[in-house]
Amino acid sequence: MDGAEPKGTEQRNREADEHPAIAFPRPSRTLTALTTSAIALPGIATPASADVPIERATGSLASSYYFEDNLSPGDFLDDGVGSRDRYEIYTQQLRFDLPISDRMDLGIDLLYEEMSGASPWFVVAEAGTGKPLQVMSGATIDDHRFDAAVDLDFYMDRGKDTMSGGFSIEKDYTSFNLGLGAERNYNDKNTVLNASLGFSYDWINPTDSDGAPDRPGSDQKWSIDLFAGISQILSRASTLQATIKYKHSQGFLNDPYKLVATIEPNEGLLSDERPDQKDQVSILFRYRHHFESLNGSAHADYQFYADDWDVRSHTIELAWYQKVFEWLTFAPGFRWYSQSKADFYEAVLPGGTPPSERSSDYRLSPYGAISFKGKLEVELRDLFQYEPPRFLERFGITDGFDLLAALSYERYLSDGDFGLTSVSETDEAPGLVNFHVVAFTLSGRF
Amino acid sequence: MKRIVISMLILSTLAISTGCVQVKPWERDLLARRDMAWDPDPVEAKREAHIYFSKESSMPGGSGGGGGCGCN
Repeated sequence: MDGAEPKGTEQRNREADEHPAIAFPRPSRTLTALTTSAIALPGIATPASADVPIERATGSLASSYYFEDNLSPGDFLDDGVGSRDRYEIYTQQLRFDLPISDRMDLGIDLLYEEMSGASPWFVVAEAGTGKPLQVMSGATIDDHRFDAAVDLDFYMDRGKDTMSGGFSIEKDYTSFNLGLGAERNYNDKNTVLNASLGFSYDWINPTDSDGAPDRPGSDQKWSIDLFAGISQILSRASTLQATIKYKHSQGFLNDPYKLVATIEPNEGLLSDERPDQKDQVSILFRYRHHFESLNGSAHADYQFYADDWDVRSHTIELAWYQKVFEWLTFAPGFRWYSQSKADFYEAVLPGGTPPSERSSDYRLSPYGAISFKGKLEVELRDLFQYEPPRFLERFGITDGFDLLAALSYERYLSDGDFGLTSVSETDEAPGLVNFHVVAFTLSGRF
Repeated sequence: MKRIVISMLILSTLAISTGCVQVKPWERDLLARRDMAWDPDPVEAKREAHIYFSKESSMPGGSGGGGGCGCN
């Protein structure tokens, strides 16, 4: 980290002083000097204390491939329609962060993904053994989703306010969201408090609404969420964050494409029915510690989650960022996840009057998951020099180009045995998923 | 359940606010490292959060509200 401003900026600031009429709306030299010396160059990503306006435009491009393991034959009931070929998703993401003025930043997030493959449909009990077997849908042709989000940050002496909005569109689902956030710092910026409020409204338009009992032609749901957090610098080399988030959802919360079977072969398939409201809480702790002698940083995150469908979960994520050379970082990571079941989850319903709330969706079942991750990052500063036209300098495009290239991989495995408590064979969902993700990211600071 | 949540919040607030050194601005060089950020790669963090949200029953705890999708 050199901490010095690029030559061009020095030159320009001097020229601006000599010719005040052509001064750009940039942070004062004193503010810039204080913040750059205190925080060195702000990272291409959000720095730990993102409460100063960014000075340079950044852009990121990411491409990822997500693919699930085929459903194992031992968990599959072949009905002639379903396929064991599970989901694969290609995702493209684009993100821009631009300084708009000396007190305002704009962030734009774009995402496009193509999905294909078979999904779990319902679960039946194997004749004789009673073991739950997954019936799958046929492999779908490509589905697409487009997601866009914008956030505006307004900076002031003690922090910043944020306005955000976005939407997500796919063939059978549309969602709009809005958010307001505030951040304030105290104790000479050693302590940062965060709060935000969000609102979302979704329209569900299931395809083939005649294709299943009780599948609606169109339905809606809405949700509000509240967030509060505190971040604290503990020492020169460590920080701690504690946050809490609460969300209330109301409306159509069922999965219109899933069904529930009973143990009686004569009874027909029933629709997936969930409560029409849901309250959720997530409490997250994050710790970061840099080990100077090792030239590496440790990340440790713990999240506790609970909702009023009776699901409780724990998540632990650990990562180690090791600088191998000044320009090369290797970051292995590990994640462990454990969830309990929703109170209306049943792999297969017993016979008799069906309960008004019911689901055999594996995502509401009890299980645990572990992930092994690895990431390789190459960071090149001042890759080349160029003279941008003046109007682009207003948007933080300066005369040097920093590039970050990263390649990452994750292997995710889920199983009833990986959870905190043991899961019976009748409870363990046959549709539990294993997947790989490979991703490549290019980020540039202009 | 409520008691657990409240006591965790109080404990963490106390732990954070007591006995912490005041790190001066010129001492924050290490904290400014990209690998010391809450999310060194926000694009990846958003994608990962979306994957876990689609395949698991929990809610990502971070501040990013975001909207819904047909994925879960």
